[in-house]
Amino acid sequence: MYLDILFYLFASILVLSSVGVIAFKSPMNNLLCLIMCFLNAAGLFILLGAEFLAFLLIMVYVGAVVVMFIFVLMTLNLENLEYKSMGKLPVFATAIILSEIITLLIFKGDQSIAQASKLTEIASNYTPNNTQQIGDVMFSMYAYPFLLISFILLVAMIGSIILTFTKQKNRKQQDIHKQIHRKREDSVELKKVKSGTGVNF
Amino acid sequence: MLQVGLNHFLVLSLVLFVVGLVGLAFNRKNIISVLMCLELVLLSCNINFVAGSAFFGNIEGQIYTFFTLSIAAAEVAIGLALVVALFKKTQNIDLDKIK
Repeated sequence: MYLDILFYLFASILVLSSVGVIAFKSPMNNLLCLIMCFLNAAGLFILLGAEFLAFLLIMVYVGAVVVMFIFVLMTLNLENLEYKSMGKLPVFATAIILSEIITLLIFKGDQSIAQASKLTEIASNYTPNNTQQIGDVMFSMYAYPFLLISFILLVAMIGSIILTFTKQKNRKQQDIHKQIHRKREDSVELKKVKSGTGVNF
Repeated sequence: MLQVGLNHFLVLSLVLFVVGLVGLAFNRKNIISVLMCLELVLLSCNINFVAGSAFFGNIEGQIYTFFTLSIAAAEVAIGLALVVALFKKTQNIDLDKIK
């Protein structure tokens, strides 16, 4: 019964904060609402019995993607970046959601909303948890897509580095072509120096 | 007992999808908001996958969610790099002024 209540709580906050993502004027407020969305979605995932994905969502999205958004937003120095403070509301909301998720993890026990469903069991007396199940299937049946994903991430990394790369003009860099084609006659000159006088270049 | 079923999750993800789509369609502020709305759409897709995986008892839905997550992360990295490059060129990321 209380799982139902938790579902409606998470779902309503999720919808409200997703409306906040598109409704607020300032991009910073949009980003805070986006964080709220991801935390509530993680709560829903835990309700569904997908703990691994829930924590992956928190780590990857809240920890990396939203931080990257904030980083770019702060770097760009936009003129319409007036941040309308929501007071202590974000702090309280995040604290409430996190405590909910933690209590959910403690008290959920074996039951989740999808309790009726029996996930694929490999052997009769081998009952893996969620992460083990995902690992079992991912590294056997989905090994090639997994490698493909790593390649896509590599391409994204290189692409974003190249896109934001700017060549500085006064950078000290080796020009290998120039170095190889340098001849002795171009750079070294032998002069007979009389004793007591200097050399004019 | 529990009354929340698969339909509840499907309706929730539909609502999220529509909100993200509306944000994509009527957004005239800046490109970063467009990227955020794309994240919402992908999140609704993920909720759909996980709910299906849990209720039909098939772990593969969660694996597809994993793949979607990594694709979304790559997409956001590329998109933000494009935004930075655009800002360097035009000093502006407003959608109205760009065209």
